[in-house]
Amino acid sequence: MRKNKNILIIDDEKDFCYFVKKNLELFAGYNVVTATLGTKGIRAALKEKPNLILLDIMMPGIDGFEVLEKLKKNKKTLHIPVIMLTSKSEDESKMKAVGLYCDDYIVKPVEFEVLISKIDKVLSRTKF
Amino acid sequence: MTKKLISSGRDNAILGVETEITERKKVKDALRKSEERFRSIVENSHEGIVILDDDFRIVYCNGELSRILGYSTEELIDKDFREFLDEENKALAVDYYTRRQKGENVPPRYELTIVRKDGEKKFVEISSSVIKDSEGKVESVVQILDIGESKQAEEALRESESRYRTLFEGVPVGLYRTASDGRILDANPELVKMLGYPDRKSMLAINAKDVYVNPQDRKQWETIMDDSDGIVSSIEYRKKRCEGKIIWVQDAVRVVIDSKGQVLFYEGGLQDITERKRTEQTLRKSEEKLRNFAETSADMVFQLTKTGHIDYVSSRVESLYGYQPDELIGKHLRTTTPAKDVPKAIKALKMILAGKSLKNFELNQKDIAGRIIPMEINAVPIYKGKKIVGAQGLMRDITERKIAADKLSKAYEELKKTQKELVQSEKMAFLGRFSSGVAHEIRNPLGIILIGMEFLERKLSKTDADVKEPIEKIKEATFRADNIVQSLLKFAQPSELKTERIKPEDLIKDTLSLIKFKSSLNNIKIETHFAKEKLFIEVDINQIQQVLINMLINAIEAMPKGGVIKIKAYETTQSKNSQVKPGCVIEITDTGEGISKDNLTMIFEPFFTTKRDKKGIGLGMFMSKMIVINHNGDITVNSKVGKGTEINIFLPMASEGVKDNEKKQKYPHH
Repeated sequence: MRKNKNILIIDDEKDFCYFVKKNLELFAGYNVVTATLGTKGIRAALKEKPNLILLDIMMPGIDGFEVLEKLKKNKKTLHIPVIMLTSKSEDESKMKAVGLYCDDYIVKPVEFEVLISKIDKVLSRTKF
Repeated sequence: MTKKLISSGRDNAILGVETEITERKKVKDALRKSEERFRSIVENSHEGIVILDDDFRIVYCNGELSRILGYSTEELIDKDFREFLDEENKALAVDYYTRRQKGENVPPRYELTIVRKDGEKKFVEISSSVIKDSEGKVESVVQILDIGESKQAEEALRESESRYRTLFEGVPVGLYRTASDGRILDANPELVKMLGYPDRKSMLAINAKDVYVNPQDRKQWETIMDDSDGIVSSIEYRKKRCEGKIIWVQDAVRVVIDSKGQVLFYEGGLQDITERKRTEQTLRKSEEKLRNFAETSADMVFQLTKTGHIDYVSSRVESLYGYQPDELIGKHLRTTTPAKDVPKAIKALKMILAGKSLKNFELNQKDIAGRIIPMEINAVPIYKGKKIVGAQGLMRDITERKIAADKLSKAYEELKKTQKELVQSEKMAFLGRFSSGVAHEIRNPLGIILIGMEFLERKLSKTDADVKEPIEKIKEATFRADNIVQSLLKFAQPSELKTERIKPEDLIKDTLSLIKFKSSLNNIKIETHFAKEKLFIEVDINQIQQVLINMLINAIEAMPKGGVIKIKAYETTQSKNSQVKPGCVIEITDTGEGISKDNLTMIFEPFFTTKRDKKGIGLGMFMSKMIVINHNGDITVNSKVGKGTEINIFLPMASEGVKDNEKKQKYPHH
């Protein structure tokens, strides 16, 4: 039941967003909204109220952790599941701490299949 | 008629006697007897006796006269006595003779020179008197005594006496004669001057004993004179001058004794040696000073002859070498020099003998026990006038200094090494950050390529079957690129280690199981040998395993045609920064193609690789070294081209205790 699901992807890499949107919409049937800045992302989250957020960590301006913090502090967005995207093998302790707040994390580059399965898994967990 | 006896003042009397016929016979006999007696006396007299008439004719002469004159008595009778007189005396003799015959008073005794038959001149003493013969004629009776030798002796004596006098008066040595009680019997002008007296008279008034500065000196003088054979060639002592000034004199004395052995007098010569004594004293003082310095100096003072023999060493030699000074005197410098340093020593000596000075020259010496002592020498030539006769100088034990210098140079080396490592680790840190940055930058586009490829694949493969394979290849290439990036990132990992206590044996066995497949594939035999002792290392297992895998893969790839890999683990100690650390060595040897010397120097450089298939990016060895160093260990490589390679991984021993953290079951063995 992907058709009704909205996914927000916050990633400063524009082309990455483009392809993820393309792939997810074309081959998975999700609706995808993109934001290329943390601040824009938060605004989009508040506006679109997505079912899932794909959140990149390394971004100019406020990074993924900060965005996550803000999302979780806001009543309106706190319940939205977040999958962190990272191209870095991030400081694991940090990840562990963050892991309390996010639902999963994906290391870029990621194979489409892996992406889909993770999204499905997280969405299936949250029931709304 | 009777005539009386006429004596002429001498022992021998001449008499002439007249007698009557009747009694003549009696008287004649008596006369004859007496004549015989007197004749005998005259004939045997040791004086020459001659009777002369008023005309100097010899009327009678005795045998002695003939001996004196060298003529026979027959030749002499009737001769003119004047013939036998030397020209010099002739006038005098004639004058005396004539006057005496007239009855005048002339000296009865005087000296003449007569001329013998052979021309020789003789000194004679004449004793002459006048007599009247039976007819009233006046005759001279002359007694002639040969004083030839005594006259010559007298002359010689006079001459020698005068020569002595000249010497005595003029020589620049103070000559004297003293009685045994010290009275001065004679003093020459030089002595008078030397002792400052106004004249000889005042000098003779004093007693020699009084002019000694130290009465002991006089006693000693007397003792020496007694003990010696009467000749003392030189005694030195002090004398007081007239005005009180003290001088040093050198006395050469001999004693003159009489036939009974009693001392007649002492005679000798004094020389004023005050100046010399002063110089001697100054010299002695300065010598004392030098000797004192030599003996107390902390450096050993030495002197060598031209041939390198030891002439002098100060007492410091004992504490430095263990020898007594006199044990070394006369010995060659070889005695204290280790064999292999002798040529150096001789060369240095030659330099000094050529006139050069040695400054801070280092030379090893050996002590009495044979221990080597490093020494520093400062030496100069010894001059005698303009000639160089030896070498002298100071020797200093620089063992302490050498130890300190060694320590210093070691510390410096360590410092350099540490600095190098620091620089290296700085480089590493930078490289890490840099690579990390690059890696992340690359990963983004890689991610896009991948996801883009997937899109294309999905979109196009349904309609165009040809698309699938190319897209797969592109995806593969992308993954490969990503792998490389991942490798890069791994090395940029933070230095925090998750360490666990583990036996090297277990770690190796587990690692081997991971590569078992690859090794058997390449026909490679693996031998392991583990030490019996329980070894434990504390390491980040992932990382160290990474290192082991890297080394093993390298070994396998070095033996494409197969071979043997030997893995050993044993206990050892490694010294680093002058600290000795106990640890464990994991030794991996292969029988592969080996690594050339040039490549060996580069082997740990990042991005260095000899692999031709470009499978690796040349970070394996580099990262392995970094990981091991991070664990406070080290990796070293030995290799010989064609023979094989040996890798030694040193890891420090795990500390005792902390047994509860031991995770024995972390790595199950298969």
